[in-house]
Amino acid sequence: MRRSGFALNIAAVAAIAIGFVSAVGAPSEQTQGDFARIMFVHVPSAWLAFLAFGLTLAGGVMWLMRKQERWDRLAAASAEVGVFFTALALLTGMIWGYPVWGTFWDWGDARMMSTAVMFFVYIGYLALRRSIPDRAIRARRSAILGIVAFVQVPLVYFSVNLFRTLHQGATFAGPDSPIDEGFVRPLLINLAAFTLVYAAFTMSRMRIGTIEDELDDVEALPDLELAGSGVTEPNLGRDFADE
Amino acid sequence: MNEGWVVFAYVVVYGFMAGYGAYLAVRARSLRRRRES
Repeated sequence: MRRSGFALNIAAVAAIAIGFVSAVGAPSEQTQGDFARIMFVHVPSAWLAFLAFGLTLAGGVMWLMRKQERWDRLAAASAEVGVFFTALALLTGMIWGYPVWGTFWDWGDARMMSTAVMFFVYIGYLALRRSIPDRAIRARRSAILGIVAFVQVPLVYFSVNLFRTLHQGATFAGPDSPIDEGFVRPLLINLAAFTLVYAAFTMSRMRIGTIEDELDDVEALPDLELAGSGVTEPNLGRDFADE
Repeated sequence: MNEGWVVFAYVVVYGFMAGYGAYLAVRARSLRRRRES
């Protein structure tokens, strides 16, 4: 298990390095120039956040159906990593927005605001998990929240179609995509690299969750009689003292 | 063309990844030590 985790970490680091080289080697964009290179990390961050919250939903549903702790651990780990990628998407979007749009943030923009709300709702999901010590209650309540919170993912994705605000619509949309091949390749390479990073982080977080649960079990053990009625209290010479 | 913003964006992304990865590694190691002791 640890060896496969190590191999995954190495693969993720190598993929990120390849992704960086492909982003540097991409051509400059006609109107944005080099600022378009930020898209090679911004777009995969947002996609991985959606995938992560999708697996939180799947983990929650599976826990409710099977009641196996590993599904709850998957949901929790994926939510934490999803919050991480959402933060990256927000930060890189703001860094790109300042030189291109002239502003870090637009309070009236549907995509930005819905992403920010999604970010804080999943922070709330993580806070809920920390507030409930009982594992079964925690798993049930967070599974329900994980399922309900996922409603935001399609809302965030389609917010650019539902509301015509500052953020542009989907530019990478299947075979009719208007993006040049020179931009699609580094975007897909970085998407694959970020997916490996997501897998490495989530597996690592799940292993941590397993050890935390094991330690909780050990610390929660009461001072039980190890042999029950099989052992009687030694009389320590009381028979002689009575005589 | 100001490339500083592009460099900053990549530093933020890779810096956060390295930081979170290091946090996970350190936390896992300390928990393993606690379990073994």
